[in-house]
Amino acid sequence: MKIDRGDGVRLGLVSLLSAPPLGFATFDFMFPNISTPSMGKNLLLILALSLLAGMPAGYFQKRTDLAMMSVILYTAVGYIMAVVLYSAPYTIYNIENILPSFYYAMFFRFTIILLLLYVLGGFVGSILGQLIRDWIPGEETKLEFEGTPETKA
Amino acid sequence: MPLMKSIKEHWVTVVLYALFSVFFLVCSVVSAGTYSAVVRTQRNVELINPTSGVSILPNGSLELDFSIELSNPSRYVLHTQTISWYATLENGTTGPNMIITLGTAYTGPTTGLRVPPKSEKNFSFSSVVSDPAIIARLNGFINYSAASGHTYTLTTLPYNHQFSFIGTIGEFKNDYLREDYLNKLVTVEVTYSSGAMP
Repeated sequence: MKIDRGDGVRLGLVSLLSAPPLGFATFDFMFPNISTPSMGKNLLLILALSLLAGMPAGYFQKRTDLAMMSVILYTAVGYIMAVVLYSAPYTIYNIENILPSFYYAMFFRFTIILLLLYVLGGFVGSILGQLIRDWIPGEETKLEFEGTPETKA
Repeated sequence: MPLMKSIKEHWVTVVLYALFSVFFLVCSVVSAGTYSAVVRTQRNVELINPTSGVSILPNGSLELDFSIELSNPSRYVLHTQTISWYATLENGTTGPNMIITLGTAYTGPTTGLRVPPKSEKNFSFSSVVSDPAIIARLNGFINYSAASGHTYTLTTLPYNHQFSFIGTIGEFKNDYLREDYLNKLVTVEVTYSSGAMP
């Protein structure tokens, strides 16, 4: 798999821009009573969000392998972001973390289903993104031809 | 540059995508801020200025007073779940009569008592011990202690005051059935004991 500089930049941008929804969703999944707004542990909503987050990966990348790689990358970045969010009180205010094992359980044991949804939703989303990207020029051409009076006549 | 050309070509999609991302970034920052504030509330709420007093009433009864302040420096209201106070004397012997209970108070979650943000709330309790059997036990303790070199009177006995406050922070949901950690996350529990816990 060859990745040139343009592909790398695209991968990076998509990984950074698609990560915040997943970071927030992971944090919200663990703390639905204090997050704003909250999806309330609704897995269907999380799947819908991961579909949305995955669409740009397919829309902005013509190559399917790169789109898939983007999905894995932004899921990883999103998870790192969620860990940073969870650590906020302990790092910013230097408050002692009383349950380090809980920290581990929270993000690596309890969230296996989330991980599955993010990757699955991301893959499906990226396929949808590619379909939309391919559909737009065809639709534009169609409208262009339909809108010309000479063509109609 | 092909990337810039692509961004210009799909600028509506790029702007929507950036807004989508920024929205969740802002939500994350706000939520992490709330989380930090909640954790700080748990750590910073404390009991201060405990005072206790004992007096003998003209009819020979013993009156025990206790007061303590709950300091809430956080930005959240604390909703009371339970307040409890126990005034006891540890008898120094094992068995069912080890603790002599002299006063108790318990308030459940239905009272709607609130501690406003950035304030202190004073809790005062009083108990009158008039039961001759309990007074006799206290006198027995005084006599027993005298044998081991301690000179106590009814007003100088080492009474133990235990106070506990459990409250919920702000208006956050706290009635989860399975996820107890979420209930604990928004619960404050502070306790005070003037002596050794029995």
